Parts: sequence; C-alpha cells; structure tokens
Amino acid sequence: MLVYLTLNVEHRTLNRFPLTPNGFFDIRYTNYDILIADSPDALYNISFICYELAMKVECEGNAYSFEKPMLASKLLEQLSLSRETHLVVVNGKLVTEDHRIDRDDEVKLIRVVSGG
Amino acid sequence: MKCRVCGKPANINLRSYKTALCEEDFIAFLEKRVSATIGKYRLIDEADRPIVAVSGGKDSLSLWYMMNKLGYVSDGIYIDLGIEGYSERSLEKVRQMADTLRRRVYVFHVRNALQKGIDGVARVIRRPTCSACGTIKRYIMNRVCIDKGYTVLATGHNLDDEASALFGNVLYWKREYLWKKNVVLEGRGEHLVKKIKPFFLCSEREIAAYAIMKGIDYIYEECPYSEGAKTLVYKEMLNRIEESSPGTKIMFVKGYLKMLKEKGDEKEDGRESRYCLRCGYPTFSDKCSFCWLLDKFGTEYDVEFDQYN
Ligand SMILES: [Zn+2]
Ligand SMILES: [Zn+2]
Repeated sequence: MLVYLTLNVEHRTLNRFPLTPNGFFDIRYTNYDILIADSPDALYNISFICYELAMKVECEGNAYSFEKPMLASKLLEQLSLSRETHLVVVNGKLVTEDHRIDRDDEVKLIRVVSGG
Repeated sequence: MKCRVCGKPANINLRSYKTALCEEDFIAFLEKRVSATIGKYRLIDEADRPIVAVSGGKDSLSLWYMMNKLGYVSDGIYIDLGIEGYSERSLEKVRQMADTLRRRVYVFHVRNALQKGIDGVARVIRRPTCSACGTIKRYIMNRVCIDKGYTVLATGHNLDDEASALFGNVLYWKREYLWKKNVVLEGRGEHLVKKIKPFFLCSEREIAAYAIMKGIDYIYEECPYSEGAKTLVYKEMLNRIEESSPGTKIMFVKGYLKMLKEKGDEKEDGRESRYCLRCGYPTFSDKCSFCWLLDKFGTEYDVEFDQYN
C-alpha cells in the first residue's frame, strides 16, 4: 500500500509526495524549505497530512493511483481506454465493466492489441 | 453482471455475442468455437501431425496450449530472429510452455544460418526488416514440417489480424491479395505443407482473456522492428466501430468467408508454379527466395533445428 504525505501551506495543498518505505520523505527534493526559511511566520500555517491511496493501477508499465474506489468502466474512461482494447484484471481475476473496484485492490489493465 | 450459463458473477462481457460469462464457462465457450472451426473447415484430420508456429506472444502460446488441451497433440516451432533481448525473452516464454505441455519445440537460429540478426540480414539485402523476416519465417516453418514429418502448420492469426488485413485490402482494392486469406491454405505435393488458422474467428480480446484465465505467461512487448503501424491504425478503427456496433468485426470476417466460398476456387494468377532446384520449395523462378538469401550470404548452410524437449 502506498502512503502519501501532503504539504499544506496557508491551508493550500502545495504538493504531495510518496513516503519512502521507512516512512520518510526527503525535503531536499522540494523547494519548500526555502519558503519556510524566508517567512518564519508561515511555519505556523504549515501542516502535513498523511493518507493512503485507495488503489494502485498498472497499465503498460505505468503506475497510476486513484484516491476513490470506482467502477471498472469509470477507470477505463478516466484513462481514455476502450473496453474493446483493454481488459481489467483485479487481484488476478478478470472483471466486467460493472465491477466496483475497492480500496486495497490491485488492478492491472491489459492491452489486448498487438502489432501486425 | 451475471454469467449467462451458471449465474455466478461474470468475468467477461461479450457484447458481440450479447452474453456475459464466468471464467469456467468462457473457457468452454471459446474452446468450443475453436473446435467447431477445426471441424467445419477440416483443419486437422485424425492422421495429421500438427505443429504450431510459436512466437511467445499471447495468440501462438494460447493456440499451442488449447490445441493440446483439445486433443490435437502438437509440437512447436520457434524462429530465433537474433534480436538482442527480445528474442531471448520470447524464447524463454516458449520454453516455459513446452515444459508445461511436455511437448517438443524446434528452434531455428537466424544467426547460425546467416551470421547476423534479422536487422543485419535486412540491411545486407536492402529490404525492410519485416519483409526479410516474413521470407525466412514462411520458408523455415514450411521446412520444419517437410524435414520432420509434420503435416499441418498452425498459426495464431486471430479475428483482428484477419479483419484489419481485409480492411486494408478493401480500402486500397488490392485485388491480388483480397481473396487470398483463408482459414486453411491447402498444401501442394510434398513441398508445401497445409497451413491452418484455428483462431480465425476468435478476437484478440477473447484470446488475451483466455491467456489470463489460464495463467499463460506470454511476452507483452512488441518486436522492436515491428512495422505494423498501419495494421495498428486499422485495428484501432475497427475497435472503435466495434465499440459502437458490437459484432461488426466477426460479421465482416464471416461475410468475407461466405463470399469466398460462393466465389469458388478461381484459378491462380496464371503464373506457372515451379519448384526451387536446390530445395524444392515452390517458387516462380529457379531458386526460392531463401536459397537466394543463403547464396547472397555465401553460406553452404544446411537448415538445422535445435530441439528442446
Ligand atoms: Zn458460469
Ligand atoms: Zn530453395
């Protein structure tokens, strides 16, 4: 399961970062330390929110994350894929378009078209 | 969605057949269609010894698996094109399946014959890679049958392959190719083996679903030299039509087969058919294109196969 951290400054979400397996994220790769150093007052308004993503989707070597559970048909639509060209595999089993994908489900989209 | 046969949750929705099926019933449904195709078009006789042309992709591996499961006991032939990485990975999948089925697979290495991978071969003869590959594959697949006593060569061509090829031939009115496609191409004498396509009426989607359900481990990646750009566009167009009018692809291909049958066997294109003086393969000149290739590379190579049991 992927755990994400959002960095909120002045009540606005600036960005979110995946946590490393041991629960850290590396602020050196962000520019926000500069922001914090330049305006000490802002420190009071910085908050971190930790949350888990609902589902992990793999498609042709790319990984996508979605925050809410949804129907398989909706997932294909969100990625602009056709049900004629992609099969939805949830936890190793093929599912039809009306299947509701839950939190924690591992989803794979399989492209069925191959070149001539 | 519920399975139309048993009422359990369905695993696949088949809009072109207006049905949805669970895993078990879908497998039975697809296998029945392939059996029916084999029966109706007389693809395999009891006395036949079939062999399957395997590439490591979903179609050929599923076909090899299914034919053996349906009782058409068959070995495999794999052509190693000598493409770095890709060829080794696909051969590995083929070997895995050979182990599962406990069948033999013959391996022909292009590099052993011509000292070059397929891209190098193509460069020397100044032809596109896919065209050089096609010449070698057609020849070697036929040759393994002649040399090793197989009477039928099965390939994994599917409904989408046939529909897209037909679509292209109609678009550009390629009359010389239009009526050449068929579920079966009869052999000729002792030099040309019979070729069959048991998946002619099975869509890519159905075959991929079958492979997933059966846990068939196939290679997803495409050949790096694939020049199938046009084919992919046709497939894309046909799938878009299929999306809004389910069943169009199968109607298109079945309609073609019906017209082909009505048309009957018109005589070949008039050119006198001859046989290669060196190896006996049908050709229109003294020497077939494969023997020409061997000459071009100056090799005295005699076609050999590795066997993996
Ligand atoms: Zn069922
Ligand atoms: Zn020859």
